[in-house]
Amino acid sequence: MSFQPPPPPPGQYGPLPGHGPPPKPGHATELIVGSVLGGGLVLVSGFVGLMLLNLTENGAIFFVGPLLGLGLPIVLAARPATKWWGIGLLIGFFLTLIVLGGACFALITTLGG
Amino acid sequence: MFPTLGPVPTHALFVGLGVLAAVAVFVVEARRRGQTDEKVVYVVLGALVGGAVFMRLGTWLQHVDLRQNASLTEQWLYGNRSILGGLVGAWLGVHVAKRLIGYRSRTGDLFAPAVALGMAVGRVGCLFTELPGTPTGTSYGIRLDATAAEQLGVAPGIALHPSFAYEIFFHAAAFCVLWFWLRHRVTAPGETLTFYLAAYGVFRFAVEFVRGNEVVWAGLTRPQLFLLVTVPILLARIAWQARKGVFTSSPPAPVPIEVQ
Repeated sequence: MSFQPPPPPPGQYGPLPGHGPPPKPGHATELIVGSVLGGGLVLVSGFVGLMLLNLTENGAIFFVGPLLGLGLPIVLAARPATKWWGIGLLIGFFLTLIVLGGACFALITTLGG
Repeated sequence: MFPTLGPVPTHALFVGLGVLAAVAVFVVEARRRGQTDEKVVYVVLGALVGGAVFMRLGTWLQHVDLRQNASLTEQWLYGNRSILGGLVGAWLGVHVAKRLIGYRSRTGDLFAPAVALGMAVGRVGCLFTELPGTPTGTSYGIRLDATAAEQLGVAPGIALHPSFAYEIFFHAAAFCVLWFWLRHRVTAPGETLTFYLAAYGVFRFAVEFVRGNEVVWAGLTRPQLFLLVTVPILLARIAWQARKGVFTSSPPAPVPIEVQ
């Protein structure tokens, strides 16, 4: 005959108050601020691409600018400490590409004089 | 015809407002459904990457002879943007992201109302800046002034179908149906997006007849040819799911337990 201990009284299940795992901090700040910065990154990297485009007749050289611009958020996203900043930058980068659409090029050339 | 707000072009302004509206709806719906997993952020990122790339490249392949198509750089910088290409890219991006991070929950129910409202707002920018549609004898046609007509390459003063207004009404109505009715009724996870996309595909196919896009084959435009292939796939999926009984709201019959 096996002995089973009596069940604990109600209210004692689960972790005691104040002893559970701490709540996970949100990442809204990193995502929002990162998105705004990512939007700026599109314009800067696009401007770099257009400058490179003026140096050579090879049109594909333009993509070097945006690809360089993508390098920073990808590096940040790969590191656990800066992951959410990188994700935010990437969201802002691609969101701006969608929002500006055809206006992206016009805006870059306007800002670049 | 072409209102601007500071340095921001009209089209971009309304697309931006549409994106903000879509983000708000997505967040509210994700919280309501309890899908606040951090991995959802990666899924959204996948949608944005796919949408941004395919909306630019979706209109690239226009000629069978590849030499007649624009170079990738020309297409990226000057080419048309395609809503249909963006939707396909976003769908692909979501699936790739979910596969990469191992996220199994369905997310279509989060995207459906968000995309509908975002499109309703974003299309206002198209209404203000793009060719409205084909000539119409109706009284509600849009008549372009000389400046706008010259920019769009059409004759001024002719009443044109407000095809983008039709789309705005469609997406606004779709959002209301999704938000106030369908999301509480469809029991199969993720399927509201299938319903929405299928309905939009059918509607878009019809509205293309008055959009004014180039007719390329058999009286059909490029978007219509694309939809001719994709809409039947969506409708077949809905029919298949319905046949399996996934849309029935009654709970499954209890499984008898054999007692020995």
